[in-house]
Amino acid sequence: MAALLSLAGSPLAAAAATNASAQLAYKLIPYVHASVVPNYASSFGVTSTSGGGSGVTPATGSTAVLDGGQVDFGNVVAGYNYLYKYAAEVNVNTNDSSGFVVYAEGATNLYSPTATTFPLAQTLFWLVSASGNTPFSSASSFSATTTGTPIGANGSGGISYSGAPSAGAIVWQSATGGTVSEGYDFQLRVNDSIPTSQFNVYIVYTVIGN
Amino acid sequence: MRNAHRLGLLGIVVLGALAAFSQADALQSTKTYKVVEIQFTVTPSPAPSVGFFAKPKAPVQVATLPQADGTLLVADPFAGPAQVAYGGPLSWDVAPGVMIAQTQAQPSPVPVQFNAQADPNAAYLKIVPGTGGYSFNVPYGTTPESCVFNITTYYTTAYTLTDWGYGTASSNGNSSYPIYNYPTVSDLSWTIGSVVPLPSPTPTWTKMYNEGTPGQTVWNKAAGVSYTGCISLEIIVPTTLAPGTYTAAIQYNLQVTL
Repeated sequence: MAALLSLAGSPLAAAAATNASAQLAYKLIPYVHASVVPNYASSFGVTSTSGGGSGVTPATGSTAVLDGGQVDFGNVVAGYNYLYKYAAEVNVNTNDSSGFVVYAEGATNLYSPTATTFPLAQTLFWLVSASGNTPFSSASSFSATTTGTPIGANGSGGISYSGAPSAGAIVWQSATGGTVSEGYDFQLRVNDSIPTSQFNVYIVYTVIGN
Repeated sequence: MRNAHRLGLLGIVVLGALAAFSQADALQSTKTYKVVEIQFTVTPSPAPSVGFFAKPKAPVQVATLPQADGTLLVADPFAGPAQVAYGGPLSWDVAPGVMIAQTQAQPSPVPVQFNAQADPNAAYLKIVPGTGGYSFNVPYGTTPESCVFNITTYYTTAYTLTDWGYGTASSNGNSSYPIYNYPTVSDLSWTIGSVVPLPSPTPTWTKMYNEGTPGQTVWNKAAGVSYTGCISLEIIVPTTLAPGTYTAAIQYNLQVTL
């Protein structure tokens, strides 16, 4: 009897509990979502020009509307520079913890209804929006794509790349993911040699995760 | 009648006096002005491989002589036929030829539009960039840029082309590299004419300043004379300057005789 009691009180009498660990391996599918909003702030548009004697008061064109439309510089004069505030805002949402790179370039050079073309490089520039920006603030030039193929009429559908856009088109590099935004002003430096005409171009933003 | 003669003579005397002195002090006004903006991107230089900072080259010694037991001091890791680590087609994490897709997004493009109109003063002051445009990559040190832009001027009366740092006044300049407030010596100079190849005699470089009116005289021309000059620039990048992009804005003014 004493022996039985002794056995019942020992740990061997209970059911043996087992613990184990399992290693779960999984791959998180990365995603990058992006949007670009033209004229993204209420005070968007052409704010200033340079030089004296152009005879034209700078004014934002009629196709520009808040949060949409075109970045419309309106009537500009050859030989003068212009600043367009709050031209475009890039919004990125990604779970890529390594961040992302934003590229921007023209689908084409500047084109006109009369089939006249003019180089985009050294004509249209971008700079991060800031209250102190002027037509003479340091800015980087847009260029027409050299590595991609325009989609649709004059690139209205974007640019098709076989790889990444050229490194010279980088406008923003972020080392972290999440939901972030950056706004840009545009500068137009109208060369004295530009033909008298209306000009258009599509600026294409491409966001690639790191 | 006598009074009329006297008035006529007085008028002739006044006109003669004006003619004598107006050549030196002719009234001028600014017909038009334009601003040229030039960007310099300063890129870091590689570490010097010559001169004081150069590392002395150590002689390369290779142990090839066998020791007494016949072994080499250091075994030659590249001895024998070349070998490539390869475990068969199944060992590849991603098979050759398969591209790993990077996540990317391309929102709708941003349409940009403007309507370019002719400059009403284009016949009087015209500035056209050279083939290199207005943006340059420059190293540390002194770099000449030949014929960065061409300026064409014309007017029906005698005229003067002047320049200064854009947006500045004689007493209040916007001092920043490379154009500093007068009399601080700027790091940007100009000359008229091509400098590549360097002509002989060596061109005279004129420092550019933030100084406002009256500025520097680029050239004087007589009435009805059209003139085109190419402007070359010389940029000095001091070693203390951080790499980055710097902007020089130069205002050109066409002063015409009234």
